[in-house]
Amino acid sequence: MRQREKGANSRLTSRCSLAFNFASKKNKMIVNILLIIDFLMLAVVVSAYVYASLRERKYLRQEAGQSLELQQKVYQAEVLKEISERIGYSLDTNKIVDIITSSLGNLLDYDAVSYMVLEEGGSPVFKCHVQNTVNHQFIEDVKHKMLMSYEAILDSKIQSANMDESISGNILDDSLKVKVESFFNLPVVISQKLVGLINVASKERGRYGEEQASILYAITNQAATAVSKLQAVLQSEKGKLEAVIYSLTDGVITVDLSYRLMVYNPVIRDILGIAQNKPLTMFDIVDALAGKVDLRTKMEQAVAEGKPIILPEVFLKDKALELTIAPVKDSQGETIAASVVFHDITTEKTLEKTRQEFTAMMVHELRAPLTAVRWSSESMIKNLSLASGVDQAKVKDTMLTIETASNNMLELVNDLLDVAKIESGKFELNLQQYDLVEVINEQAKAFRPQAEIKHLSINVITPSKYLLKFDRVRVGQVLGNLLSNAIKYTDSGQIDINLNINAEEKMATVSIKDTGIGVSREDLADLFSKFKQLKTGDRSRKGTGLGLVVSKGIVEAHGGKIWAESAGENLGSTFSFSLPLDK
Amino acid sequence: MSDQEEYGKMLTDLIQKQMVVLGPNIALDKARKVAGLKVSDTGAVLEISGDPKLVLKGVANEYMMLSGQIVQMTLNSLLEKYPQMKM
Repeated sequence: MRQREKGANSRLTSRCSLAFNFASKKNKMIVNILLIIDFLMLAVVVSAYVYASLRERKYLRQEAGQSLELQQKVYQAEVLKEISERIGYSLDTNKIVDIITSSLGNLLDYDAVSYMVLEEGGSPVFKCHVQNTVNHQFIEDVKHKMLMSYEAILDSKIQSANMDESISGNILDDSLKVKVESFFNLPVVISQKLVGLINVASKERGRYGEEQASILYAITNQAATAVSKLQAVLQSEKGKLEAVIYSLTDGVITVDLSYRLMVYNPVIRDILGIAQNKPLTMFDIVDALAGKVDLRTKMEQAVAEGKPIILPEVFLKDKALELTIAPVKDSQGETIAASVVFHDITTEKTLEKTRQEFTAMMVHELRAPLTAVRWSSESMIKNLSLASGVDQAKVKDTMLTIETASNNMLELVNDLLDVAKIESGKFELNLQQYDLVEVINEQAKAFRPQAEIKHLSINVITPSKYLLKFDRVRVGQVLGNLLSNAIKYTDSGQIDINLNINAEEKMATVSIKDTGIGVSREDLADLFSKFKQLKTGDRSRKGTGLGLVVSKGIVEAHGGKIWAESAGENLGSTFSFSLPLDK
Repeated sequence: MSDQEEYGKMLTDLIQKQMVVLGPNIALDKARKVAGLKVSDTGAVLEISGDPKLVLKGVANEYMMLSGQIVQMTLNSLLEKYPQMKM
């Protein structure tokens, strides 16, 4: 029984144990499932949190990045503004490079910032600012790297023997064992020309990355572009000014305060007789004026006194010049240059001389008949007071002399009045239809007695009649002047008067051809000039020359032309004038 | 010499010249930004993958972004040296 009970208990226990085990396994599984669910939920929550955090961090990073970018842009703009303000309207490229260099130094850490520019002659100028103490070799390395860069860009060798160097900032200490570990060069290009090179150097390896350098490049390029635009505007304005100077008939030069030639026009070469085939320098100009004017001293004087100096007469070879030397001032009144204007007064001087000669000649021409009148009057007074009675024949002769002299004076005065009328444009014509042949014949008839005295014949070769609209008196005056001259300057032979009608050109041309002394080629051009007269050594032939001037005025007032032709001296001459047919 | 080698030579010349002109760090940084190009610290081109013409254009553009005028100046002499190269 006991055993049966025991067995039953044991079975029960074992069943219970099985049941418990089963229940325990089930619970464990549930727990595990719950744990997995919890874990998954936790993972989702954590992931969501991490994701949200990451997103937030990314957003914050972006914000920070944008803020930094914005800060950088603001800073760049400030640096650019500073550079622009400091450069102002300067076109001095050395100064511009210097300003950019000193402004860029504020943007990043460096041990030395330098710039190199080339002088006009091609020799380099090197300037270095030492921020933190380095040794001499460091500076030499920077210089060498900049020279190499310059040469690589220009693709040519730079003569560095006469390099102008200056180092500022901190002291150099050769006991320091440092060298250039990182650097970059910033070429400054203005108006498509390399004007300088900036170098930023550090003794720390890997100091400058592409990002930092790019900012400096951007700023340098923007500053250079702004200056290039300014240069283009100023160049355009300068071009306009130069065009004005080029078009001037006066010679003009402008020099800077170092007396280097800045601007000049081509006329200056003609005025000073300087060859066209080489570039003009101040030395050429000073040389051309040597012994006449100390131009340099005069320019210094004008600059020092701040007012123009005028040299009214400077005689140079075959030229007479008036020089005006003046300081050139900027808008603030500061003297920035000096200019010299070379006004060629050769023509004025020649004209003045001719005028003086003309006045002397006119005085002489008037004095001769006046003297004749005076002597004749005195002679007549003596004759009238003679106790023996008046010699009628002598009185008549004296009166004739007075009449001739008076007529000569009147003729002269009339010519002068005619010239004055022609010059003032108040010359009036009485145009009517007349027979030109009739007027020619009248004048030929009037002058024949005078011609016969010299055994000259006057031949008229014209149609029988030709009607034309002209001023009969004035055209008669022209014919008279030309015939009078022909007789005066012809000793033997004949005088032919021709009338030709050119229907095509609608002109009637009258020619008076003589066999006289002729006119030299050089005199032909001056024949109709107011102050010129034929150059002849024979005083008896000399006249005022006004007859031809008046004739020219009369013919031109008709709308015609007057001219002279001659094969040369002693080969005769032909004086012609034409009148329009349809006047 | 193949096109690849020719371009490699020209790129090496260009990069090494820019190393002198601009400074080695910047010149190398810029060149290494171009996809398909491997450059040594001396500026020598180690490998070009892809169209070498595009790589050359890419390098030139990178330098152009720094200073267009300077690249033009230096490229002119290189193009004279390599007349068969096209950009």
